[in-house]
Amino acid sequence: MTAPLLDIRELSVTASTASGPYDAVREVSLEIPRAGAVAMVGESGSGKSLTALAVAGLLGEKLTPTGSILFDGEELVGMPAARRREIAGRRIGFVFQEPMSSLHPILTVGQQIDEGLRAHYDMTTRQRADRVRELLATVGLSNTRDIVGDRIGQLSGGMRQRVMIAMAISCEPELIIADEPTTALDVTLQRQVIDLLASLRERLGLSLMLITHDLGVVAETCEQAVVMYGGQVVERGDTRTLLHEPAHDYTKALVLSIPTLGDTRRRLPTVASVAPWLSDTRQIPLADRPLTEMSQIAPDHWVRSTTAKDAA
Amino acid sequence: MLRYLGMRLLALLPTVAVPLILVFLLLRLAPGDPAALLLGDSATPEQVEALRETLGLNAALPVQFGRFLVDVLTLNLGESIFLGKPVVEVIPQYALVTLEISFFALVVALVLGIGLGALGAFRDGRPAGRIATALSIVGISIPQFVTALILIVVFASGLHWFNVGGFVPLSQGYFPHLRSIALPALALGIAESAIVARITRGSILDVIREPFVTTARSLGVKPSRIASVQIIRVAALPIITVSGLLVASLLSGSAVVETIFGIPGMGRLLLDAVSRRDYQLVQGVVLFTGVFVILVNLVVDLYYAVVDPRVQLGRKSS
Repeated sequence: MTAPLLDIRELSVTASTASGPYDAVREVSLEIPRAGAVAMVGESGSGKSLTALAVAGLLGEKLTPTGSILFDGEELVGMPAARRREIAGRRIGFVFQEPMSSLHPILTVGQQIDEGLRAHYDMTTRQRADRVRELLATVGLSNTRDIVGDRIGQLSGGMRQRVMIAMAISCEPELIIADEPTTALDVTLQRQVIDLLASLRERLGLSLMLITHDLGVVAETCEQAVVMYGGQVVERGDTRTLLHEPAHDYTKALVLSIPTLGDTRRRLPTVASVAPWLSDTRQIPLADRPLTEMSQIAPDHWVRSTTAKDAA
Repeated sequence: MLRYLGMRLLALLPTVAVPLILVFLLLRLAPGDPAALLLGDSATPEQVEALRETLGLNAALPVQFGRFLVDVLTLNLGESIFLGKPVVEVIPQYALVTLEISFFALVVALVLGIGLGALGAFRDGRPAGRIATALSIVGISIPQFVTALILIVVFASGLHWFNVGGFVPLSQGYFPHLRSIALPALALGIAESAIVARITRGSILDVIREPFVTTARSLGVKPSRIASVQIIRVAALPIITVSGLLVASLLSGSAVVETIFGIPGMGRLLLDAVSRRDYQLVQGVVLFTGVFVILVNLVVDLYYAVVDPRVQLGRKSS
């Protein structure tokens, strides 16, 4: 088996807050194989996005990553900024959640896509302009009117997210990180954007890290999934197993909350804001508790035990 | 676009009218009689009365204002009582000097202010940034006349690079002329640069946190390019607005600086005219300054549309 494209080992992200340091992400380990797709699932604040930002090198000044992120064998944690910039955009592309605010309000669509090309390639203005049109065609924006000179405010939500994707793939990266790329869109557009990402993945041979709340999307697009809760990975494995035989209480609760078409008898259960296994009587904040062991229960299925060894 | 311009120029009339009415009333409410001042202490009350009649000062206020309005609309601003010359002839030669000093001061204010502000924002929290921010706070707190005096002490009487005061007209050579207005322009500019620096810093700090900056970073765009292309484009808008307001502030600040450096500009002309109750001249200067400031701000508004194409002139934003 070849080495994975992305190999995250015991990655922690420490936030320095007024009340002292705090681990927002704790010892996350996961792998993304070449041309593979891995979903990151979990509620807001579970650390999915911070993990993704750490991989892309976009953590803010007050967030410090520790541990190891190997990208194609190269260590990303602690990498000098200049080297990091060579990888950003060129080998790792990022699709953000909110295209409206994540795209520049004044620069035109063409100028924005051009920025990545300008940063990484030695191309003439003419070549870059051709490439911009080619990219717009790739993401399905060539049938409509010519939008190269348009500004973000003139585009619809779906078009904006397509522009965002065009920017992310502009330098043909090996890995695309999509951080809830459909959350800001309405349902029909969500479908289109996910289909676009899936088809691009196939056509360009991309690896995909997809952060999402939508388990339906996970089932269709990703072979593997990682469930996060409270800054830690609670379960990971291949998507089918995870959705059909969830082992962790939190994953079970998540899977139960998927609505089934035609099933009108039951109310959808709510995922408890604090999962049962966490509501112990000691009232110790999650981040302060010792991490419990992660155990392998099948060839490709890992789960974190719900009780600490000393508390058992 | 043309329609917008027309509307704006039409709106200029009431905007100019307000300061004119205020000046007209304030001058006449203030104690002091131009006729008495003109004739000196030895004049008899009869002589003063005769002169008041000649100057039209005995008419009722509304009548005086009516005459004044008609004069303004026909661009006949009357004669300066003291200088004995038509106001329209007096103002340009003084205005030119003031506008020149203000222009250089604006350049100083923008270059220094944007520089300090950008340094304060991009190096926020680090020593260079803190020093830049501290300097701009100090700059805001120091009045213009203190800045002017410090400049005189250091560069004129200390280093002898410039003359302490006095004005050399352009006709006596370009370099001596520039040298004579350098310190006044610097004094004015430094005082105003502090405000530009504050606005620039705040504006850039706001934009730095925008998600589109993170997007640019995710593409591997260099920080220098992110700053010069992505951030400045958005952060420039408040700075442009302030520049427009700055022009008004520079014109009023010139009164102080011109007095200190002994420069025959409009600021000093206005001060002299007020102290002599030279009604016609005061009104003329206020009218000129008002129209000028409003026109500058109109240009600033038009320039908006050039910098930010989202600004659509003459349309209500949806």
